[in-house]
Parts: sequence; C-alpha cells; structure tokens
Amino acid sequence: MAKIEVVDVSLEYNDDGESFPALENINLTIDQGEFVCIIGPSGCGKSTLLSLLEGLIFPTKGKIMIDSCEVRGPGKDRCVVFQHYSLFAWFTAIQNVALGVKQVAEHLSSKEINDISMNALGKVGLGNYANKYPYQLSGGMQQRVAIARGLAMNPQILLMDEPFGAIDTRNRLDLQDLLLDLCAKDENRKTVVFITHDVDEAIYLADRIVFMDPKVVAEDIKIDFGDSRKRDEIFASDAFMKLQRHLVSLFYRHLEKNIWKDVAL
Amino acid sequence: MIRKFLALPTILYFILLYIAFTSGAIKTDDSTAFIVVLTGIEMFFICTEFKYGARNGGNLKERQSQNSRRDITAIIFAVMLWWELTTKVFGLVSKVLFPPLDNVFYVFVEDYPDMLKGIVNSLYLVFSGVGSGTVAGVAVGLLVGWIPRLRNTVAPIANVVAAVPALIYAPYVVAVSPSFKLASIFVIFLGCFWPTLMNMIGNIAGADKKLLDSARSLNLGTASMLFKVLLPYSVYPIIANLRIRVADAFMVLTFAEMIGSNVGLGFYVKRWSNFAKYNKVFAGIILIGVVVTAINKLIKLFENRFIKWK
Repeated sequence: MAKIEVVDVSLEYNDDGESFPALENINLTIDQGEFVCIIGPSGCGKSTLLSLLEGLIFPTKGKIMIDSCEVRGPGKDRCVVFQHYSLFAWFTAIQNVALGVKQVAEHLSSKEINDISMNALGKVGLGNYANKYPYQLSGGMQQRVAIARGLAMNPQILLMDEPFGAIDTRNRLDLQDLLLDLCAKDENRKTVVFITHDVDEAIYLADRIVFMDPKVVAEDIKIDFGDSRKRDEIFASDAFMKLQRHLVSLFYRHLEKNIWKDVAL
Repeated sequence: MIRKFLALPTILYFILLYIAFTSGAIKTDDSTAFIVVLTGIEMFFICTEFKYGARNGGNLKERQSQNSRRDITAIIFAVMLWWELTTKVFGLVSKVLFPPLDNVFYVFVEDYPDMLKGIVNSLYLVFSGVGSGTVAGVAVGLLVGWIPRLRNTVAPIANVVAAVPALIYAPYVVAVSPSFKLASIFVIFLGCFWPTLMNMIGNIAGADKKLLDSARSLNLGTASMLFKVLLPYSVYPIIANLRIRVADAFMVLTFAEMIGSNVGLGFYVKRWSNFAKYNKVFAGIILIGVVVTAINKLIKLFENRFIKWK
C-alpha cells in the first residue's frame, strides 16, 4: 500500500528575484513499512525532499500525499531526526523525549509520559543518562536521545536527515544496528525515509535505495538480502560489492576523468 | 618566598603606606580609611598569590589569572602612587580640584549614612525600572519576534524609538511626572524596554533555522514554542543585554537625579560638585562604580546558579 506519494513535485528557491530549481518533476512512491535510503551528491536536493515530506516547506508544483492526503504542515504521523540540533540544550535527555511525547499524547498524565520516555531511553541504552543535559552527552549519545524521542512519539513515518553523519565510525555502526533492531521489532513496521551520503550505510539499512542526481531521481534500486541482517555476511557478499561499485560509479559519472567505469547491475 | 613578597604590587603598597602615615606638602583628613582600603587590596592580592601563585603549582589557567590579578593590583597602586605624589606629597596641583586620596576615602567614614541612603534609593529605582523594562521587553519581544506581521510593523518603530537615548527625554519626563520617583522609574523603564525589545526581536527573528525546524517538526504549539524553545534559547542574550541595561540605567538615573532628586547616588555627586567638594565627588564616583560592579557580579552568580546547561 502506498504510504507516501510524491507526485510531479518541483521546487524553486527564490533568491533576489532569481529562481533556482531545487527539485524537478520528482515522482516517488513509498510503501507502508518500507525502509528507503535516499543518497546522492551534496546539493542534489535530498534534504529538500525530506523537508517537503515533513511539511516544513511546500512544493512550487505537484503535491506530496501521505495516506492519500496532501501534506499541509508537520504532522503527528511523522517525525524527523536531524544531523544536528535535534535536542534542546536547556532540557535534560528525558525532558527532550517527554516534550515530543507530550505533543502526540496530550491525554496522558505526566507520569505516563515520563514512563514512555524512560522506556524509550532504555531501549537506546541511555537509561542511566536520563537526567543529563545534552552538553554532558557525547555526539553519539545525543543522537541516541533523538532517536529515542522519534520512537517514543511512535510516528508512522520516521524521517531521518543524515542522522549519523557527524558520528564516528564505531558509534555509527552501533546506531545503524540499533535502528534496524528497533524498526524490525515493531509489529506494524514504520516507514523510514533515511538520507545519507554513505553508500555502505544505505545498502546495509535500506530495502530500497533512491539515488538522486541533481534535482531528479536518477535510479531506484530494490535491495534484498533476505532476512539476514548479519553485517559481515552482507558486506562480504558479491551482491553487496556489486551494488557498492554501482552506486559509487553513479557519484562519479559526471566527472570528466571518471576513474570508475560505470558498473551495471 | 621572599621574591613573592617583593612582587611589584607589594613594593608599591609599602610606599603608599609610608605616604599615608607621613604628612606631605598638603595637610589631609584622617588617613585611616585610605590605609584600610590599601591594606584590603594588598591582603586580597597576597591571599590569591598564596592560593594560585606559581610556587603553589596552580594550573596554567589559575596562574594566568593570577598574573593578571598581579598586573591589575600593580596598576591600581601605581595610579594611586602617582596621584598621591602629585597631590599630597608635593602639592603640585590644585588641592580643591585634585583631592588627596586620604581625603577621598575619608568621605566613606564621614558620609556613610548619606551614601547608604543613596544606594538604597538608587537601587530601588534601578531595580524597579530595569526589572519592569526587561520583563516587558522580553515578553513583548518574544511575541512580536515570533509573529512576522507584528514584527514587520513593530520592529521599524522600535528601531527609531530605541535609537533616541533615554537621557534626551529624561528632563521632560521629570518635568511632566507628579513625583520624581515615578519619573525616574519611567525613564529607566523606557531606556531599558526599547533596547531589550529590539534585542529580543533580533534573537527570535535570527534564531537558528535548524532549531526552529526541529521544534516545528515536533508539532509544538505556539505556547510551547515561545516558552519552551524560544525563551530558553534567548536566555544568554537576555542576560548579556541585562548587564548593559543596568549600566545604562545608572547613567540615566544619575542624570535624572541631578535634575530633580534630593537623595540618591547621582544626587550625591551632583550636590557636592556644586559645592566644589571634589573629594566627595570622587568618593561618589567610586561608590557608583563599586555598586554597578557588584550588580554585575550578582547577575553572573545568578546565571551560574540557575542556568545548568552549557
């Protein structure tokens, strides 16, 4: 079932009377429960697309539909995790999570909200850090809190804008597994749109990879490693390496001295 | 050990002490207050020297701040010494216009009831004016900054009004108001309100777009947006602004008191300069400096105590 439909969407930025196209005629359908990674070079419009899905900005042409309803602003069915600035510096970890929960569950008592928040922090392994302020946590821990908030708010769609982009390799791998764990355990799986520029991350996480070349969707690739989510097995497989070479070659294809031969799938 | 004791500030201290105890070309009032002040500064210096000085293996940052403490003490003593030499010791300048420091500090003994009353009175006016001005400026600025249409209307107006120094209309307000107290509170309020409003509108309008996106994506309502996100976000700029406003308020107040009051720190300075008692004028100026510094320290303390993030 189509959860998200992007129909003929174009977006132009206006700057001093001049308009710059940021997206041109994007068409994309994402099904319920799909984990989609959007990758592409800087400035290709992937973050812009995510802002459109969240309803922070609106397309100049075309429309974005979620559950067949047009997006008119941020909604309780969606939640974003950004690379930076996801947390409010003046709230503790648990207050940050609770603030999000409060918005989607107004009828709950503050104790229930607190329990939900605590539970979510426990899931990401930060049960003991509930009362720390963001500055007291490492970058990886802060991002865990942001993810905990996203999950505690229990949205149907999780939008992630390079959430692990600024995190060191080891923590990034941990967080990737954590995210897969948390999404897989869920009975009615969340739809996830995940932006990254890391090819390996995309292949490992996604059910489907959308490669954006400046302003348009250039490729749409299904990923299927079966039910196995064992990192070492996947990374060693021929299918993985072929995908990786193919995607990397896509990044390089506009360069004149292309050192990567276009690798067909 | 001995070298530490003979640091430049200490040498200057003993010279000043000698001057204070002996009589020079100009006869002075009782020097006890001056000696107490000198000794107070020196004691503070010696104590910190023992606590943070290089000999005691303090860390680099402590040693650096101790170095600047030593330099500052040396400069204070050097200026005092120069002043005492030209006035008390050699009597090179007019003793009316340039009173010896002995006489300046003696004023604190002689006039302390007047001074205390002045402090209480001036602080009352400053706190009422700056307090109400800040609260109003922050509250209005928060709302105006957040709603684009209000912002586009109010900001240009505020820009013009805030550009007029409160000193300009202070005489008028004093003349119009029924009581001086009301007039000065109102002038200080205005002098604080407009700049705070401008500052606050700037904070909100210039708030980090990523922060706002993050808040909007949580579906925060207007109230939460204002009080849970934008207000805490602006706390540091508000405090920075508050410091400037307090200093400004003292300027306005001192000026206002000079026009229409019979009590207060500004009045004290004005009155004694009319009588050409410049030792009292100097003492009043020093007192105002100390009071403003103390308020700033208080704000800093409040900041450290109540703001637990970052």
